[in-house]
Amino acid sequence: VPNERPIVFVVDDDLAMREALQDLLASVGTEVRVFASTQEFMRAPRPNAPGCLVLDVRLPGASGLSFQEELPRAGVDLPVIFITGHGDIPMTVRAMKAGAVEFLSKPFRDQELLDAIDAAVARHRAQRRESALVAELRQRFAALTQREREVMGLVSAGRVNKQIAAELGISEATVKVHRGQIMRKMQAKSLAQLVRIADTLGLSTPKP
Amino acid sequence: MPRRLSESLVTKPKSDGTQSRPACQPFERPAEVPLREHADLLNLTHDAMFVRDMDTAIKYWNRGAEEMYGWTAQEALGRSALELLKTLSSVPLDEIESQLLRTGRWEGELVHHRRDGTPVVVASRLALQRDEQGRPVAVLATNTDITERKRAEAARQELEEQWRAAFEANPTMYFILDAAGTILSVNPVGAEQLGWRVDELVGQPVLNVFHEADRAFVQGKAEEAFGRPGRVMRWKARKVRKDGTVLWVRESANAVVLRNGPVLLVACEDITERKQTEEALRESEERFRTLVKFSFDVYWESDAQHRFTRQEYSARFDRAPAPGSEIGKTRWEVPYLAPDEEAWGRHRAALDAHVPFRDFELARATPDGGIRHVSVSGLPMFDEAGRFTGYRGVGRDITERKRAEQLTRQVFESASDGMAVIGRDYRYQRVNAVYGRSWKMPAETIIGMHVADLHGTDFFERTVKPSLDRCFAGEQFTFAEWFTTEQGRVYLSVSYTPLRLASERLEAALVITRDLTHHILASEALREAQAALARVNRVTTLGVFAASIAHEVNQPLGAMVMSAGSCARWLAAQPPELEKAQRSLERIARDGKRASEVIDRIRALVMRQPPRRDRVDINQVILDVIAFTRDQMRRNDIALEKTLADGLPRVWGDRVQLQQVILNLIVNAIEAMSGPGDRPRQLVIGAGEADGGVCVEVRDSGPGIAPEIADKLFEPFHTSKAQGIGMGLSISRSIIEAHGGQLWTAPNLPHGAVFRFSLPIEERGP
Repeated sequence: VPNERPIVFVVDDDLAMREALQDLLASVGTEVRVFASTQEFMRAPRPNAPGCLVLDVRLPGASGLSFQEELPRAGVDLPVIFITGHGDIPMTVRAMKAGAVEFLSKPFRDQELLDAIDAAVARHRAQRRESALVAELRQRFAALTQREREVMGLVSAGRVNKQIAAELGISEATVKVHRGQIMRKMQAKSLAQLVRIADTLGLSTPKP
Repeated sequence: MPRRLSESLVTKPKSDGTQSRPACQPFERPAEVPLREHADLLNLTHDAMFVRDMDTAIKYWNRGAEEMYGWTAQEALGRSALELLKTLSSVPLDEIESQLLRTGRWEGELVHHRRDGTPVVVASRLALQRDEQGRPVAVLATNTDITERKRAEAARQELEEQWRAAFEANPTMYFILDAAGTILSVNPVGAEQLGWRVDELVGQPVLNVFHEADRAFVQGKAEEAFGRPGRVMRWKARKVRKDGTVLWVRESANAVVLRNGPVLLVACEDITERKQTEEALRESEERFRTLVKFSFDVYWESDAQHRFTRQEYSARFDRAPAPGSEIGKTRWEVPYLAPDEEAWGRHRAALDAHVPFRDFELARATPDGGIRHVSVSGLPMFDEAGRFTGYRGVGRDITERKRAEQLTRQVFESASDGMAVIGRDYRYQRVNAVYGRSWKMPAETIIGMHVADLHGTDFFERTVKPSLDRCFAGEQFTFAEWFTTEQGRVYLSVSYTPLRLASERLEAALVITRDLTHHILASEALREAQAALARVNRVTTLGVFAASIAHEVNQPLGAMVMSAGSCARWLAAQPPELEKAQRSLERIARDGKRASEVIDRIRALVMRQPPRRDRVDINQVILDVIAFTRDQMRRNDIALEKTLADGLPRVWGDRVQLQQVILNLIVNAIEAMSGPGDRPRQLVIGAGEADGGVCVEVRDSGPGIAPEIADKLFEPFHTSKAQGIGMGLSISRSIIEAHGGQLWTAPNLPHGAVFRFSLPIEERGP
């Protein structure tokens, strides 16, 4: 759903900043929700939509950086843009390592922020597409029988039919039948594609 | 003998030649001559005797009758006795006659009348005379004048009645007792007073009516009275009424010997009321005495020559003279140390004028070689005739007060400050030597001068008088300022204290001046040095907050830049969103102002400027400092809590200096908590009212202050920090003390330290 409308979440304890951010995003037609604290943000409903989180580094209570680290555990996958009044190098490094999209020092130009928001939203859209795909593949994989899953693992690990038959103690012909079923159920058009799918699903590669 | 006489009288005696008086010839018949001799005898008696026949015609009339009735025998003879004597009788006359005829005699009282008509009471004896045939022929009447006896008897009766009345109706109670103490007689008053009837008391032992406790005493007294007849004994005792109530009586008893033996006559008077009055009077006197003893040290009385007749000392009057040692002497005859002759002269003149005197002060040596000051007051006494009888009065030991007075005088005279007592008339009453020296004149010269004469009218009206008037209105105050005098500029601390000397009335003002010129010059130099140091401290401290300050400024700047961007977009939109653009501009203006305020605050801390004295809202000062330290706290993961009481009174002071103190305390707190450790980092800034001032505290949850360095904490150059110069707390303390407050530290619980400072709330700055 590429045209889904993005939502920008802002957490800043400074009222002036909140107002300015809200107004700026409104002026470019972006939907924005502002919060004075992380707690406020966590309590608020988050619609299933692309978006990003603009986070002040210095917040009362937990700092913005530690909050960022907690987000995945809380099931929040929004990309984070940090803004700070007076940044410093260690903080920037820590934020970028944790996967922040951008780190802006106040005062920053409005366009810088808007660009960062665009990038973050794009990244979120990609993330969402990726996760949707993975979910689809998991569903297909779930439809495989136990034996087909074993065969698929061995195929994606580069084993030939003969090897597979020997390993599983079945006939080569039977391996062929399983492979056909696997290709069909997983909707893989080529062996290479199947290998990529297996990779995406993170199937463990058995020892050679 | 009467019989014989009457027999002879019935015959008419013959007239006798020797008997010339016609009255002596009542008998006509000569045969009766022997009777004449009898008749002569009859004439010797004073009794009136006459003989009448049965028709009452008088036949004989003796000399006694002539004398008693005033009729001569000649005149009486032949007349009817009844008519002549106009006989009256309580018994009917015919009854007398019939008894006479029946028994031959009658005796009784009759009333006869004399010739002049006056009545005469007689005891009359009548005897009937019969002839040989037994026929009644005559009656012999012998009449004794009993008028006098009757009168005496009447008088006696009257006297007796009077006595009886006196005995019975007299309001005094009378008892007559026999030697055994039995009541022989009591008057109705006596019985009634005790609630008995007379007949109930008569025959009873008199002791029964006495109060049990007094019986033995009364018995003893009564026995004594019986032992000395004719001598009056008196005593007081209690009697008990029939109803059990008690009355006090005073009795006078006199034993007399009557026919039947000695009796005790007792007059008894109810003195219960008087006794109660006496009791009340005695109690009231006792109370008065106690009161006097309680209130004064000595009570005394003196006679008309002013010689002591009585002296009573209260228990707290120690080292009192030996009892009686001053009795008989005048006040000035007892050895004294003060006052002088002149004062004694005035005192004696007052005594001789018999007028009251108050608080005459004198001093005497005590037995232990000390001195005692006494203040004496007295009132003259006069008897009923208005004659002066002496004085009575009280005395008070004022030694302590005298000593205190002397001390006060020494303090006054030897004080290093100039001191002056100025009356409500703005004239000097007392000045000490220092005050005199400051005007380069002797103190004695200044006393009595008007303040305007010394200070000049202009200065007096403008400066001194308003202060004095404030003081006379009851206000005590101190101020210090520069004065320009002929000797140059001086800095004086002046205090005005209202004086109430003897009474509650405000009588004078005590003015104390201290020349602080040298002191103030030195301290101004010191203050300048301190200010410079403080500024260095501020700048250094601000360095710690550089990042935090940048954050506080960048915050509004960031908002402004963004708002400018949005504003441009609103304007560029088709159609332009003017209203929204305007709101963006308003925010830009607001945030720009905020940024400049932060800069201003910083600037004030860095700028070199003279100290100010303003009304300062301490909460605002705290919030200002928090504004540029907040970020620093976040950076150190410190949670800030504010407990600022609402409506705190404003304090006098310099805003920047107070900000500096709070800033120093916050820096210390942040640094105390910035060490390693996972203890919660909490900084609490509180402000409240306490002890007539405002109290500010900064608490941290750091490691706290080791007791061994707590003392050194406020010393200059004491530091626990590598980069500190150790001036923060020292400067903070001197700032607070210059504001009239205090800065101290205490442990915070469970961890950390608390720094507190107090500031007074005053009308004027310190």
